[in-house]
Formats: sequence, C-alpha cells, structure tokens
Amino acid sequence: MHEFSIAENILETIETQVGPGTRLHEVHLIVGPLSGVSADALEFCFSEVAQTRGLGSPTLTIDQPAARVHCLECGVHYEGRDFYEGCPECGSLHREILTGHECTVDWVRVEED
Amino acid sequence: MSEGGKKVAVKSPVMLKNDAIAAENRRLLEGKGILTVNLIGSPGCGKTTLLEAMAKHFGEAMVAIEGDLQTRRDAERVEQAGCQAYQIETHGRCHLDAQAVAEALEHLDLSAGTCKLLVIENVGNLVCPSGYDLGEHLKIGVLSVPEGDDKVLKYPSLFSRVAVFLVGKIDLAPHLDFDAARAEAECRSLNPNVIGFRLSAKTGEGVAAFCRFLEGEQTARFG
Repeated sequence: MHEFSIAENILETIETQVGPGTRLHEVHLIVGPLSGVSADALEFCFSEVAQTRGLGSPTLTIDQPAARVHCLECGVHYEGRDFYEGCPECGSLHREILTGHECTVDWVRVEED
Repeated sequence: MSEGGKKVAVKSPVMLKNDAIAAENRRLLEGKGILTVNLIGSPGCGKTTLLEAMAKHFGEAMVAIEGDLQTRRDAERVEQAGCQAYQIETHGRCHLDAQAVAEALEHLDLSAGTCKLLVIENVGNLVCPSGYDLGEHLKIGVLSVPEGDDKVLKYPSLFSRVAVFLVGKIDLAPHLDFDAARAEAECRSLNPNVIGFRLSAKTGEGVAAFCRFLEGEQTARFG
C-alpha cells in the first residue's frame, strides 16, 4: 500500500506544472496495469492528501488503459490486463510488453483567478 | 463530478521528481565507476543473507544500503560480513525512493576508489518498490523456493521490470514442489531479455556465478 506516497508524487508533479499552492478541482490520471498502482487505494486517499497540502479537495478520475503486447510466437499485437492470459490467437506467453507501466498526470482543472 | 475551473494539460509522469533525483544519483555513482543494483523481493526471501554471501566475495569493493521499516539489524549483519553499509529506516514507508538513497549516499565513503558495487536492498515487498527508480543500473528480483513458483505472474509490475531474476534458497528445491524452470519462463514472458540465476546463499551454490556476472557488468560499463 504505497498510494499515499503516490498521491504525494502526483501533487508534486502538478505543483511543478501549475505552481505551488494552486487549488485543484479535478485531477485526471492514466494508470497502466503494470504500474503497481491500485486505482481504488489511490481514490481512497487522494482527496485527503490534497487537502493536507492546502490544494483543495479535487475529484480524481482515472483512465486505466490495457497494456499493448506483441506476441513473439505468431506476431499478433493485442491488449492485455491479465498477465496470466497468453496471446488471444495462439495462447503463447512468449511476448514483448510494449506499454503498461505508465502512471501519468494527464490534465487538471484548476481554480480560476 | 467537479465541472468548474480551467483545464490545464499536464502530461507528466507521476515519478518526474523522483526520476530526476534518481538520474542525479546515477550520474554521481557512474562518476565513481560504481555499478548499482536495486535488490527487490519479499520479506524473508533471503536478500540480506545473499548480501552477506556477496560481502564475503567482494569485501570492501562492495557497499550496501539497507532499507527497512525499522531497526539497523540488516546493516549490522552486512557490516559484520565485511563491507560498509548504511541503514535507511523508512518508519512505515513500504519502499525506498530516490531522495532516501541520495541522503544515504552522503553517509557512505565512496571516495577511496575501491568501491565497485553498490547494492541497495529495498524494503521487503513485491509491489511498491517496483515503480521507484533509485538511480540503479539493474533491478534484481528475488523469488525464493518456499514462496512458490506461481508468484511471478501475480506480481507483474515488478517482474516485468527486472534485468536479473534470482531463484533463491535453491537448496530447498528437493523438499518443495517448486518448478524453477516455470518461474523463469514466466519471468521471460513478461521480459524476454531477463537473465536468470539459481542460487543458495546458505550453501553458496550459484553465488560465485552471480557475483562474476556483476563483475562483468561493472567492467563492461566502467572498464
């Protein structure tokens, strides 16, 4: 459970971009299935952490795209969320994972001056 | 749903600040020709026992940073095995971050030119440390035989990122139903370029081969 630290990292990233102390209305994230971040746990603590830092109590919305995977057996490209499952075409686990580690702040909605 | 306010594109990785500090750590260590590895595995998988065995191989050419929630026990063990060690106590945090390592580096004597290898033993955990770059050259994942051969695909955020996959406590394999080939194949399925070693820090099996691999990596990078 490291989502408290992740929440702090998110807010540091946002403050770097929009200026320290900017009050936030909404924060939109992109979280991949290999990021090691639990969206539920993050939603649970995020608003609290933002309030503690004096940034308001923003709503958190999270996009959770599947990972993009390339099958090294039959060459097909597919989307993966469950890494127990192999290629949908040939079943192979021989694969290259192209994306899925991302944890990115996409956009925010800030209080207008 | 909040509708008010001005929308601003950010498009920045959440780890931006951590990654910048990690890059600085890496630059500092590379300037001294030190290969740095980030050792990650469950509590009790044998990370510290492996470090003790490595300390006997490398002596003062190795330096360790130990991450734990509490106590200096691990640093004391590694020091007794013959190398310099610094303990980070995270007081509840389940992982190390680049800032904690930057502070630890200030406490270590890396000036002598004798140090070739820094081993950072992360907090025992298969999830939380995986996303934090500390400034290492290699992430090393440890899975020990008693944990079961099915764990790799249960913790893909870690095992998809490791450069080296260690199967530890291999001396227990005859007593337990652990299929090392399965665990290694599943790690390769997340990461086709991973390099594997099977070892036992207790009996010494495989430890020398692993240490020679690290020596080769250090030489290849820093001559």
